[in-house]
Amino acid sequence: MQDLVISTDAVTKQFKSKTAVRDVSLRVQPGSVYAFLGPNGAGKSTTIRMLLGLLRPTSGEIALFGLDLRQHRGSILSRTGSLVETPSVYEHLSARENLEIPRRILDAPRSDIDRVLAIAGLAHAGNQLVRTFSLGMKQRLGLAQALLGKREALILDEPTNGLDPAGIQEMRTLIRDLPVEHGVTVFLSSHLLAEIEQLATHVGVLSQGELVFQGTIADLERRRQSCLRIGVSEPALAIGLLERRGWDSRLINGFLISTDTGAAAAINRTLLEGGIDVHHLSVDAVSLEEIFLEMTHAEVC
Amino acid sequence: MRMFLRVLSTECLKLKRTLALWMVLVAPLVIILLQFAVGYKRAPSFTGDGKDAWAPMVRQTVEIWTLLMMPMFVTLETSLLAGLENTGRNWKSLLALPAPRWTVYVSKLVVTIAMLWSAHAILIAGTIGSGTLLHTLYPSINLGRMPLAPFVIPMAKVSLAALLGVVIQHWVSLRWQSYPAAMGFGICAMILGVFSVQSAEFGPWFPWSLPIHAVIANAKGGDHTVLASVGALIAGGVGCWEFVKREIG
Repeated sequence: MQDLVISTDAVTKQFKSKTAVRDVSLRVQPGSVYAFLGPNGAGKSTTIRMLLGLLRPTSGEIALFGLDLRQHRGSILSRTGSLVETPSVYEHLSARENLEIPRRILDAPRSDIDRVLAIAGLAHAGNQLVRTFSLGMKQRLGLAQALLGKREALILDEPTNGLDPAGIQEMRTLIRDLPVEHGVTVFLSSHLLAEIEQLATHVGVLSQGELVFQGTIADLERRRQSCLRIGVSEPALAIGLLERRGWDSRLINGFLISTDTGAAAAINRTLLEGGIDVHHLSVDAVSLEEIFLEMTHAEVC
Repeated sequence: MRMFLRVLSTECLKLKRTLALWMVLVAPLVIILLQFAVGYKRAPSFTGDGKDAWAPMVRQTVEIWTLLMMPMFVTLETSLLAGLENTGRNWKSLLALPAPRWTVYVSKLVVTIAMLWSAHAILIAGTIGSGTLLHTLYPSINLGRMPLAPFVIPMAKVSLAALLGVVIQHWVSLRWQSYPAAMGFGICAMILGVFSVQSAEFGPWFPWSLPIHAVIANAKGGDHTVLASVGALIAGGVGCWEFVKREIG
Protein backbone atom coordinates (compact mmCIF):
# COMPACT_ATOMS: atom_id res chain seq x y z
CA MET A 1 0.00 0.00 0.00
CA GLN A 2 2.88 2.38 0.81
CA ASP A 3 4.10 2.53 -2.78
CA LEU A 4 0.72 3.25 -4.25
CA VAL A 5 -0.45 6.80 -4.91
CA ILE A 6 -4.11 5.80 -4.57
CA SER A 7 -5.33 2.65 -2.92
CA THR A 8 -8.86 1.83 -1.91
CA ASP A 9 -9.97 -1.21 -0.05
CA ALA A 10 -13.47 -2.55 -0.77
CA VAL A 11 -14.99 0.93 -0.94
CA THR A 12 -18.77 0.98 -1.10
CA LYS A 13 -21.11 3.94 -1.36
CA GLN A 14 -24.79 3.55 -0.75
CA PHE A 15 -27.35 6.29 -1.46
CA LYS A 16 -30.51 5.29 0.38
CA SER A 17 -31.55 2.09 -1.43
CA LYS A 18 -29.12 2.45 -4.35
CA THR A 19 -25.57 1.14 -4.21
CA ALA A 20 -23.59 3.50 -6.44
CA VAL A 21 -20.19 1.89 -5.83
CA ARG A 22 -19.60 -1.62 -4.50
CA ASP A 23 -16.36 -3.06 -3.09
CA VAL A 24 -14.04 -1.06 -5.32
CA SER A 25 -10.35 -1.68 -4.63
CA LEU A 26 -8.20 0.61 -6.74
CA ARG A 27 -4.42 0.35 -7.07
CA VAL A 28 -2.79 3.36 -8.72
CA GLN A 29 0.96 3.17 -9.25
CA PRO A 30 3.16 6.26 -9.03
CA GLY A 31 3.98 7.87 -12.39
CA SER A 32 1.07 6.20 -14.14
CA VAL A 33 -1.85 7.61 -16.07
CA TYR A 34 -4.68 5.53 -14.65
CA ALA A 35 -7.85 5.64 -16.67
CA PHE A 36 -11.04 4.97 -14.79
CA LEU A 37 -13.35 3.76 -17.47
CA GLY A 38 -17.04 3.07 -17.39
CA PRO A 39 -20.32 4.03 -19.00
CA ASN A 40 -22.28 7.01 -17.71
CA GLY A 41 -23.81 6.19 -14.34
CA ALA A 42 -21.30 3.43 -13.56
CA GLY A 43 -20.14 5.19 -10.39
CA LYS A 44 -16.96 6.91 -11.61
CA SER A 45 -17.85 10.39 -10.33
CA THR A 46 -19.03 8.98 -7.01
CA THR A 47 -15.69 7.19 -6.59
CA ILE A 48 -13.76 10.33 -7.50
CA ARG A 49 -15.75 12.41 -5.03
CA MET A 50 -14.91 9.87 -2.34
CA LEU A 51 -11.20 10.04 -3.26
CA LEU A 52 -11.38 13.82 -2.74
CA GLY A 53 -13.27 13.61 0.53
CA LEU A 54 -16.39 15.22 -0.91
CA LEU A 55 -18.43 12.08 -0.21
CA ARG A 56 -17.89 9.64 2.64
CA PRO A 57 -17.74 5.95 1.78
CA THR A 58 -20.42 3.84 3.41
CA SER A 59 -17.74 1.22 4.02
CA GLY A 60 -14.15 0.54 3.01
CA GLU A 61 -10.87 2.42 3.31
CA ILE A 62 -9.30 5.08 1.13
CA ALA A 63 -5.62 5.94 1.24
CA LEU A 64 -3.55 8.32 -0.85
CA PHE A 65 0.24 8.32 -0.63
CA GLY A 66 -0.17 5.61 1.99
CA LEU A 67 -2.13 7.95 4.28
CA ASP A 68 -5.67 7.36 5.44
CA LEU A 69 -7.94 9.99 3.88
CA ARG A 70 -10.09 10.48 6.98
CA GLN A 71 -7.13 11.16 9.23
CA HIS A 72 -4.85 13.06 6.84
CA ARG A 73 -7.33 14.93 4.61
CA GLY A 74 -5.43 18.24 4.63
CA SER A 75 -2.04 16.75 3.93
CA ILE A 76 -3.41 14.52 1.16
CA LEU A 77 -5.38 17.28 -0.56
CA SER A 78 -2.37 19.61 -0.52
CA ARG A 79 -0.58 16.98 -2.63
CA THR A 80 -3.58 16.17 -4.84
CA GLY A 81 -4.97 18.44 -7.53
CA SER A 82 -8.40 17.85 -8.96
CA LEU A 83 -10.69 18.80 -11.78
CA VAL A 84 -14.18 17.44 -11.27
CA GLU A 85 -16.34 17.53 -14.40
CA THR A 86 -16.85 21.15 -15.40
CA PRO A 87 -14.09 23.56 -14.39
CA SER A 88 -14.91 25.48 -11.21
CA VAL A 89 -14.05 29.06 -11.98
CA TYR A 90 -15.17 32.51 -10.88
CA GLU A 91 -16.19 34.17 -14.12
CA HIS A 92 -15.97 37.72 -12.74
CA LEU A 93 -12.30 37.25 -11.89
CA SER A 94 -9.29 37.08 -14.18
CA ALA A 95 -7.43 33.82 -14.74
CA ARG A 96 -4.65 35.05 -12.47
CA GLU A 97 -7.14 35.98 -9.72
CA ASN A 98 -8.79 32.57 -10.08
CA LEU A 99 -5.42 30.94 -9.52
CA GLU A 100 -4.67 33.25 -6.60
CA ILE A 101 -7.50 31.59 -4.61
CA PRO A 102 -6.01 28.06 -4.47
CA ARG A 103 -2.51 29.56 -4.32
CA ARG A 104 -3.30 31.33 -1.05
CA ILE A 105 -4.92 28.24 0.44
CA LEU A 106 -2.02 26.06 -0.64
CA ASP A 107 0.46 28.73 0.51
CA ALA A 108 2.31 28.30 -2.79
CA PRO A 109 4.73 30.97 -4.05
CA ARG A 110 3.32 33.68 -6.32
CA SER A 111 5.62 32.55 -9.12
CA ASP A 112 3.65 29.32 -9.25
CA ILE A 113 0.82 31.12 -11.01
CA ASP A 114 3.07 31.93 -13.96
CA ARG A 115 4.35 28.35 -14.00
CA VAL A 116 0.90 26.75 -14.21
CA LEU A 117 -0.40 29.37 -16.65
CA ALA A 118 2.50 28.44 -18.93
CA ILE A 119 1.85 24.70 -18.57
CA ALA A 120 -1.83 25.21 -19.39
CA GLY A 121 -1.00 27.42 -22.36
CA LEU A 122 -2.73 30.43 -20.81
CA ALA A 123 0.28 32.68 -20.20
CA HIS A 124 -1.15 35.22 -22.67
CA ALA A 125 -4.57 35.28 -20.99
CA GLY A 126 -3.60 35.64 -17.34
CA ASN A 127 -5.19 39.05 -16.88
CA GLN A 128 -8.26 38.32 -18.99
CA LEU A 129 -11.61 37.93 -17.22
CA VAL A 130 -12.66 34.29 -17.26
CA ARG A 131 -16.15 35.17 -18.51
CA THR A 132 -14.51 35.87 -21.89
CA PHE A 133 -12.89 32.42 -22.00
CA SER A 134 -13.98 29.58 -24.25
CA LEU A 135 -14.91 26.30 -22.56
CA GLY A 136 -11.54 24.87 -23.62
CA MET A 137 -9.69 27.75 -21.96
CA LYS A 138 -11.77 27.33 -18.79
CA GLN A 139 -10.96 23.64 -18.76
CA ARG A 140 -7.25 24.43 -19.11
CA LEU A 141 -7.58 26.97 -16.31
CA GLY A 142 -9.15 24.23 -14.20
CA LEU A 143 -6.14 22.05 -14.94
CA ALA A 144 -3.80 24.95 -14.05
CA GLN A 145 -5.61 25.24 -10.68
CA ALA A 146 -5.13 21.54 -10.14
CA LEU A 147 -1.40 21.85 -10.82
CA LEU A 148 -0.75 24.71 -8.38
CA GLY A 149 1.58 23.97 -5.52
CA LYS A 150 3.45 20.74 -5.01
CA ARG A 151 0.91 18.34 -6.46
CA GLU A 152 2.00 14.75 -6.78
CA ALA A 153 -1.30 13.40 -8.04
CA LEU A 154 -4.07 14.72 -10.23
CA ILE A 155 -7.61 13.42 -10.10
CA LEU A 156 -9.53 14.42 -13.19
CA ASP A 157 -13.18 13.62 -13.77
CA GLU A 158 -14.03 13.55 -17.47
CA PRO A 159 -11.51 16.29 -18.26
CA THR A 160 -12.39 16.49 -21.96
CA ASN A 161 -16.16 16.69 -21.46
CA GLY A 162 -17.76 19.39 -23.57
CA LEU A 163 -14.59 20.35 -25.42
CA ASP A 164 -14.37 20.72 -29.19
CA PRO A 165 -11.99 18.36 -31.07
CA ALA A 166 -9.10 20.83 -30.91
CA GLY A 167 -9.67 21.39 -27.19
CA ILE A 168 -9.82 17.64 -26.59
CA GLN A 169 -6.49 17.15 -28.36
CA GLU A 170 -4.85 19.99 -26.39
CA MET A 171 -6.12 18.61 -23.10
CA ARG A 172 -4.96 15.08 -23.94
CA THR A 173 -1.50 16.32 -24.85
CA LEU A 174 -1.30 18.23 -21.59
CA ILE A 175 -2.39 15.23 -19.52
CA ARG A 176 -0.14 12.77 -21.34
CA ASP A 177 2.93 14.93 -20.67
CA LEU A 178 2.25 15.45 -16.96
CA PRO A 179 3.85 12.28 -15.52
CA VAL A 180 7.01 12.62 -17.60
CA GLU A 181 7.52 16.39 -17.47
CA HIS A 182 6.13 17.17 -14.03
CA GLY A 183 6.33 13.89 -12.14
CA VAL A 184 2.60 13.82 -11.46
CA THR A 185 0.51 10.66 -11.27
CA VAL A 186 -2.76 11.09 -13.12
CA PHE A 187 -6.05 9.39 -12.29
CA LEU A 188 -8.72 10.29 -14.80
CA SER A 189 -12.20 9.07 -15.48
CA SER A 190 -13.65 8.77 -18.91
CA HIS A 191 -16.30 6.94 -20.84
CA LEU A 192 -14.33 7.27 -24.08
CA LEU A 193 -12.18 4.29 -24.88
CA ALA A 194 -10.33 6.10 -27.67
CA GLU A 195 -9.19 8.63 -25.08
CA ILE A 196 -7.90 5.92 -22.81
CA GLU A 197 -5.98 4.21 -25.61
CA GLN A 198 -4.17 7.48 -26.30
CA LEU A 199 -3.46 8.49 -22.72
CA ALA A 200 -3.40 5.71 -20.21
CA THR A 201 -0.81 3.30 -18.93
CA HIS A 202 -3.27 1.59 -16.59
CA VAL A 203 -7.00 0.99 -16.75
CA GLY A 204 -9.76 0.27 -14.28
CA VAL A 205 -13.15 -0.60 -15.72
CA LEU A 206 -16.20 0.13 -13.63
CA SER A 207 -19.55 -1.38 -14.44
CA GLN A 208 -22.70 -0.83 -12.40
CA GLY A 209 -20.60 0.27 -9.45
CA GLU A 210 -18.22 -2.69 -9.54
CA LEU A 211 -14.60 -2.79 -10.70
CA VAL A 212 -14.66 -5.48 -13.37
CA PHE A 213 -11.09 -5.05 -14.63
CA GLN A 214 -7.91 -3.46 -13.39
CA GLY A 215 -4.51 -3.68 -15.01
CA THR A 216 -2.22 -2.23 -17.63
CA ILE A 217 -3.30 -1.40 -21.15
CA ALA A 218 -1.19 -4.41 -22.19
CA ASP A 219 -3.27 -6.63 -19.87
CA LEU A 220 -6.37 -5.32 -21.54
CA GLU A 221 -4.89 -5.89 -25.00
CA ARG A 222 -4.24 -9.51 -24.09
CA ARG A 223 -7.97 -9.98 -23.82
CA ARG A 224 -8.26 -9.41 -27.52
CA GLN A 225 -9.18 -12.53 -29.44
CA SER A 226 -10.59 -13.43 -32.80
CA CYS A 227 -14.32 -13.19 -33.20
CA LEU A 228 -16.96 -13.63 -35.80
CA ARG A 229 -18.64 -10.34 -36.73
CA ILE A 230 -22.04 -10.77 -38.35
CA GLY A 231 -24.26 -8.06 -39.80
CA VAL A 232 -27.89 -9.19 -39.99
CA SER A 233 -31.28 -7.72 -40.79
CA GLU A 234 -32.96 -8.73 -37.53
CA PRO A 235 -30.41 -8.99 -34.71
CA ALA A 236 -32.82 -9.96 -31.93
CA LEU A 237 -34.29 -12.81 -33.96
CA ALA A 238 -30.81 -13.90 -35.03
CA ILE A 239 -29.52 -14.06 -31.44
CA GLY A 240 -32.44 -16.27 -30.48
CA LEU A 241 -32.01 -18.49 -33.50
CA LEU A 242 -28.28 -18.95 -32.88
CA GLU A 243 -28.85 -19.60 -29.20
CA ARG A 244 -31.28 -22.41 -30.01
CA ARG A 245 -28.55 -23.96 -32.13
CA GLY A 246 -26.00 -23.66 -29.31
CA TRP A 247 -24.06 -20.58 -30.47
CA ASP A 248 -23.62 -17.71 -28.02
CA SER A 249 -23.59 -14.25 -29.50
CA ARG A 250 -23.88 -10.66 -28.33
CA LEU A 251 -25.02 -7.54 -30.08
CA ILE A 252 -22.24 -4.96 -29.99
CA ASN A 253 -22.14 -1.82 -32.11
CA GLY A 254 -24.87 -3.19 -34.40
CA PHE A 255 -23.07 -6.46 -35.13
CA LEU A 256 -23.55 -9.89 -33.67
CA ILE A 257 -20.25 -10.98 -32.14
CA SER A 258 -19.59 -14.67 -31.67
CA THR A 259 -16.35 -16.24 -30.50
CA ASP A 260 -17.04 -19.44 -32.44
CA THR A 261 -15.02 -18.43 -35.51
CA GLY A 262 -14.85 -22.00 -36.80
CA ALA A 263 -18.60 -22.11 -37.28
CA ALA A 264 -18.80 -19.16 -39.67
CA ALA A 265 -20.24 -21.15 -42.57
CA ALA A 266 -22.73 -23.05 -40.39
CA ILE A 267 -23.90 -19.87 -38.68
CA ASN A 268 -24.34 -18.13 -42.02
CA ARG A 269 -26.36 -21.04 -43.38
CA THR A 270 -28.52 -21.20 -40.25
CA LEU A 271 -29.34 -17.51 -40.41
CA LEU A 272 -30.22 -17.62 -44.11
CA GLU A 273 -32.38 -20.71 -43.63
CA GLY A 274 -34.07 -18.89 -40.76
CA GLY A 275 -35.06 -16.08 -43.15
CA ILE A 276 -32.56 -13.56 -41.78
CA ASP A 277 -30.50 -11.57 -44.28
CA VAL A 278 -26.76 -11.54 -43.64
CA HIS A 279 -25.06 -8.43 -45.04
CA HIS A 280 -21.71 -8.78 -43.28
CA LEU A 281 -19.65 -11.74 -42.12
CA SER A 282 -16.02 -11.50 -41.13
CA VAL A 283 -13.48 -12.94 -38.72
CA ASP A 284 -11.83 -10.04 -36.86
CA ALA A 285 -9.86 -9.29 -33.74
CA VAL A 286 -12.09 -7.97 -30.96
CA SER A 287 -11.47 -4.24 -30.52
CA LEU A 288 -10.78 -2.68 -27.12
CA GLU A 289 -14.13 -0.99 -27.42
CA GLU A 290 -15.85 -4.33 -27.78
CA ILE A 291 -13.93 -5.70 -24.80
CA PHE A 292 -15.08 -2.67 -22.83
CA LEU A 293 -18.68 -3.10 -23.93
CA GLU A 294 -18.51 -6.80 -23.10
CA MET A 295 -17.16 -6.03 -19.63
CA THR A 296 -19.73 -3.38 -18.92
CA HIS A 297 -22.59 -5.34 -20.47
CA ALA A 298 -23.38 -2.32 -22.58
CA GLU A 299 -25.06 -2.79 -25.91
CA VAL A 300 -24.68 -0.11 -28.51
CA CYS A 301 -26.81 -0.64 -31.61
CA MET B 1 -5.62 30.08 12.43
CA ARG B 2 -3.23 30.89 9.59
CA MET B 3 -5.29 28.72 7.26
CA PHE B 4 -8.47 30.53 8.37
CA LEU B 5 -6.89 33.88 7.54
CA ARG B 6 -5.78 32.57 4.16
CA VAL B 7 -9.29 31.35 3.36
CA LEU B 8 -10.73 34.64 4.61
CA SER B 9 -8.42 36.53 2.27
CA THR B 10 -9.65 34.42 -0.66
CA GLU B 11 -13.25 35.21 0.26
CA CYS B 12 -12.37 38.90 0.15
CA LEU B 13 -10.70 38.44 -3.23
CA LYS B 14 -13.84 36.78 -4.60
CA LEU B 15 -15.80 39.97 -3.84
CA LYS B 16 -13.90 41.88 -6.48
CA ARG B 17 -16.22 43.28 -9.20
CA THR B 18 -19.31 41.79 -7.53
CA LEU B 19 -22.76 43.25 -6.95
CA ALA B 20 -22.43 42.07 -3.35
CA LEU B 21 -19.62 44.54 -2.74
CA TRP B 22 -21.47 47.38 -4.47
CA MET B 23 -24.52 46.68 -2.32
CA VAL B 24 -22.53 47.63 0.78
CA LEU B 25 -22.50 51.14 -0.61
CA VAL B 26 -25.79 51.18 -2.49
CA ALA B 27 -28.12 49.87 0.27
CA PRO B 28 -27.28 52.51 2.90
CA LEU B 29 -27.08 55.17 0.18
CA VAL B 30 -30.70 54.47 -0.76
CA ILE B 31 -31.78 55.19 2.82
CA ILE B 32 -29.51 58.23 3.08
CA LEU B 33 -30.82 59.68 -0.18
CA LEU B 34 -34.40 58.94 0.85
CA GLN B 35 -33.90 60.69 4.16
CA PHE B 36 -32.18 63.60 2.45
CA ALA B 37 -35.01 63.92 -0.08
CA VAL B 38 -37.63 63.86 2.69
CA GLY B 39 -35.64 66.36 4.75
CA TYR B 40 -35.10 68.63 1.76
CA LYS B 41 -38.82 68.58 0.88
CA ARG B 42 -39.92 69.23 4.45
CA ALA B 43 -37.14 71.68 5.24
CA PRO B 44 -39.33 74.77 5.06
CA SER B 45 -41.71 73.34 7.68
CA PHE B 46 -38.78 72.76 10.05
CA THR B 47 -37.62 76.31 9.68
CA GLY B 48 -37.79 78.32 12.83
CA ASP B 49 -39.25 75.74 15.18
CA GLY B 50 -35.89 75.40 16.87
CA LYS B 51 -36.22 71.74 17.72
CA ASP B 52 -33.28 69.38 17.34
CA ALA B 53 -33.76 67.84 13.88
CA TRP B 54 -31.12 65.14 14.37
CA ALA B 55 -33.23 63.04 16.73
CA PRO B 56 -36.15 62.37 14.33
CA MET B 57 -33.76 61.99 11.41
CA VAL B 58 -31.65 59.41 13.23
CA ARG B 59 -34.69 57.57 14.57
CA GLN B 60 -36.28 57.30 11.13
CA THR B 61 -33.03 56.22 9.54
CA VAL B 62 -32.44 53.50 12.12
CA GLU B 63 -36.02 52.24 11.93
CA ILE B 64 -36.31 52.14 8.14
CA TRP B 65 -32.93 50.49 7.85
CA THR B 66 -33.55 47.96 10.59
CA LEU B 67 -37.07 46.99 9.68
CA LEU B 68 -36.94 46.97 5.89
CA MET B 69 -33.61 47.52 4.24
CA MET B 70 -31.35 45.45 6.47
CA PRO B 71 -33.30 42.16 6.15
CA MET B 72 -33.35 42.57 2.36
CA PHE B 73 -29.67 43.48 2.40
CA VAL B 74 -28.75 40.41 4.44
CA THR B 75 -30.87 38.15 2.23
CA LEU B 76 -29.31 39.56 -0.93
CA GLU B 77 -25.74 39.52 0.36
CA THR B 78 -25.86 35.95 1.67
CA SER B 79 -27.50 34.77 -1.56
CA LEU B 80 -24.95 36.58 -3.71
CA LEU B 81 -22.03 35.23 -1.68
CA ALA B 82 -23.37 31.67 -1.82
CA GLY B 83 -24.09 32.23 -5.51
CA LEU B 84 -20.36 32.70 -6.14
CA GLU B 85 -19.95 29.01 -5.38
CA ASN B 86 -23.37 27.75 -6.49
CA THR B 87 -23.37 29.36 -9.95
CA GLY B 88 -20.16 27.78 -11.16
CA ARG B 89 -20.71 24.62 -9.11
CA ASN B 90 -17.51 25.61 -7.36
CA TRP B 91 -18.10 23.77 -4.09
CA LYS B 92 -16.46 20.59 -5.30
CA SER B 93 -13.19 22.28 -6.19
CA LEU B 94 -13.24 24.63 -3.20
CA LEU B 95 -13.83 21.79 -0.75
CA ALA B 96 -11.25 19.58 -2.46
CA LEU B 97 -8.60 22.08 -1.36
CA PRO B 98 -6.72 21.34 1.87
CA ALA B 99 -8.52 24.00 3.94
CA PRO B 100 -10.68 22.59 6.75
CA ARG B 101 -14.33 23.01 5.85
CA TRP B 102 -15.14 25.09 8.89
CA THR B 103 -12.72 27.77 7.66
CA VAL B 104 -14.78 28.13 4.48
CA TYR B 105 -18.08 28.35 6.37
CA VAL B 106 -16.84 30.78 8.98
CA SER B 107 -14.95 32.94 6.44
CA LYS B 108 -18.08 33.43 4.39
CA LEU B 109 -20.02 34.29 7.53
CA VAL B 110 -17.35 36.76 8.67
CA VAL B 111 -17.41 38.41 5.24
CA THR B 112 -21.22 38.76 5.40
CA ILE B 113 -21.07 40.29 8.88
CA ALA B 114 -18.23 42.58 7.84
CA MET B 115 -20.27 43.79 4.87
CA LEU B 116 -23.31 44.41 7.10
CA TRP B 117 -21.29 46.36 9.63
CA SER B 118 -19.55 48.28 6.84
CA ALA B 119 -22.98 49.22 5.51
CA HIS B 120 -23.87 50.43 9.01
CA ALA B 121 -20.73 52.57 9.11
CA ILE B 122 -21.63 54.02 5.72
CA LEU B 123 -25.18 54.64 6.92
CA ILE B 124 -23.93 56.57 9.96
CA ALA B 125 -21.36 58.57 7.97
CA GLY B 126 -23.80 59.20 5.13
CA THR B 127 -26.58 60.35 7.47
CA ILE B 128 -24.22 62.78 9.16
CA GLY B 129 -23.10 64.00 5.73
CA SER B 130 -26.64 64.35 4.49
CA GLY B 131 -27.71 66.24 7.66
CA THR B 132 -24.73 68.51 7.37
CA LEU B 133 -25.60 69.23 3.74
CA LEU B 134 -29.21 69.96 4.70
CA HIS B 135 -27.99 72.31 7.39
CA THR B 136 -25.77 74.06 4.84
CA LEU B 137 -28.71 74.44 2.45
CA TYR B 138 -31.14 75.42 5.22
CA PRO B 139 -29.13 76.92 8.09
CA SER B 140 -32.33 77.51 10.03
CA ILE B 141 -32.84 73.75 10.50
CA ASN B 142 -31.43 72.72 13.83
CA LEU B 143 -28.85 70.28 12.42
CA GLY B 144 -25.74 71.47 14.09
CA ARG B 145 -22.99 69.30 15.40
CA MET B 146 -24.44 65.82 15.70
CA PRO B 147 -24.05 63.99 19.01
CA LEU B 148 -22.66 60.65 17.81
CA ALA B 149 -23.79 58.47 20.70
CA PRO B 150 -27.58 58.60 19.98
CA PHE B 151 -26.84 57.25 16.50
CA VAL B 152 -23.89 54.95 17.08
CA ILE B 153 -25.31 53.16 20.13
CA PRO B 154 -28.59 52.09 18.45
CA MET B 155 -26.70 51.06 15.34
CA ALA B 156 -24.26 49.04 17.45
CA LYS B 157 -27.25 47.33 19.09
CA VAL B 158 -28.79 46.65 15.67
CA SER B 159 -25.45 45.27 14.46
CA LEU B 160 -25.37 42.73 17.27
CA ALA B 161 -29.09 41.97 17.32
CA ALA B 162 -29.02 41.22 13.57
CA LEU B 163 -26.44 38.46 14.01
CA LEU B 164 -28.91 35.65 14.65
CA GLY B 165 -30.85 36.42 11.46
CA VAL B 166 -27.58 36.73 9.52
CA VAL B 167 -26.33 33.36 10.75
CA ILE B 168 -29.61 31.62 9.89
CA GLN B 169 -29.81 33.25 6.46
CA HIS B 170 -26.14 32.35 5.84
CA TRP B 171 -26.85 28.68 6.54
CA VAL B 172 -29.96 28.69 4.35
CA SER B 173 -28.04 30.24 1.44
CA LEU B 174 -25.30 27.63 1.65
CA ARG B 175 -27.67 24.73 2.29
CA TRP B 176 -29.89 25.08 -0.79
CA GLN B 177 -27.98 25.89 -3.91
CA SER B 178 -30.58 28.11 -5.53
CA TYR B 179 -31.34 31.81 -5.39
CA PRO B 180 -35.13 31.35 -5.20
CA ALA B 181 -34.86 29.19 -2.06
CA ALA B 182 -32.57 31.57 -0.21
CA MET B 183 -34.33 34.73 -1.42
CA GLY B 184 -37.78 33.26 -0.72
CA PHE B 185 -36.74 32.30 2.80
CA GLY B 186 -35.26 35.76 3.46
CA ILE B 187 -38.29 37.63 2.13
CA CYS B 188 -40.72 35.46 4.13
CA ALA B 189 -38.60 35.96 7.23
CA MET B 190 -38.54 39.72 6.65
CA ILE B 191 -42.35 39.90 6.25
CA LEU B 192 -42.86 37.80 9.38
CA GLY B 193 -40.38 40.04 11.15
CA VAL B 194 -42.33 43.18 10.21
CA PHE B 195 -45.58 41.66 11.48
CA SER B 196 -44.12 40.11 14.62
CA VAL B 197 -42.68 43.45 15.74
CA GLN B 198 -46.19 44.22 16.96
CA SER B 199 -46.49 40.90 18.78
CA ALA B 200 -45.61 41.10 22.44
CA GLU B 201 -45.43 37.30 22.50
CA PHE B 202 -43.23 36.53 19.49
CA GLY B 203 -41.67 39.87 18.60
CA PRO B 204 -38.96 39.90 21.25
CA TRP B 205 -37.83 36.40 20.22
CA PHE B 206 -38.18 36.27 16.45
CA PRO B 207 -34.67 36.59 14.93
CA TRP B 208 -35.77 39.11 12.29
CA SER B 209 -37.54 41.37 14.81
CA LEU B 210 -34.78 41.27 17.40
CA PRO B 211 -32.87 44.20 15.82
CA ILE B 212 -35.84 46.57 15.93
CA HIS B 213 -36.69 45.44 19.47
CA ALA B 214 -33.09 46.16 20.43
CA VAL B 215 -33.62 49.85 19.65
CA ILE B 216 -37.20 50.26 20.83
CA ALA B 217 -37.25 52.02 24.18
CA ASN B 218 -38.57 49.80 27.01
CA ALA B 219 -38.94 46.80 24.74
CA LYS B 220 -39.83 43.55 26.46
CA GLY B 221 -37.82 40.35 26.34
CA GLY B 222 -34.58 41.24 28.07
CA ASP B 223 -31.36 42.21 26.37
CA HIS B 224 -31.95 41.54 22.68
CA THR B 225 -28.34 42.04 21.72
CA VAL B 226 -27.20 39.37 24.16
CA LEU B 227 -30.03 37.07 23.10
CA ALA B 228 -29.17 37.49 19.41
CA SER B 229 -25.44 37.12 20.00
CA VAL B 230 -25.79 33.93 22.03
CA GLY B 231 -28.36 32.60 19.55
CA ALA B 232 -25.99 33.43 16.68
CA LEU B 233 -23.15 31.54 18.34
CA ILE B 234 -25.31 28.47 18.83
CA ALA B 235 -26.93 28.62 15.38
CA GLY B 236 -23.52 29.33 13.81
CA GLY B 237 -22.01 26.31 15.54
CA VAL B 238 -24.84 24.02 14.45
CA GLY B 239 -24.76 25.38 10.87
CA CYS B 240 -20.99 24.95 10.68
CA TRP B 241 -21.22 21.40 12.01
CA GLU B 242 -23.84 20.54 9.37
CA PHE B 243 -21.67 22.12 6.64
CA VAL B 244 -18.59 20.16 7.72
CA LYS B 245 -20.55 16.90 7.66
CA ARG B 246 -22.30 17.65 4.39
CA GLU B 247 -21.68 15.45 1.36
CA ILE B 248 -20.92 17.20 -1.91
CA GLY B 249 -22.50 15.19 -4.69
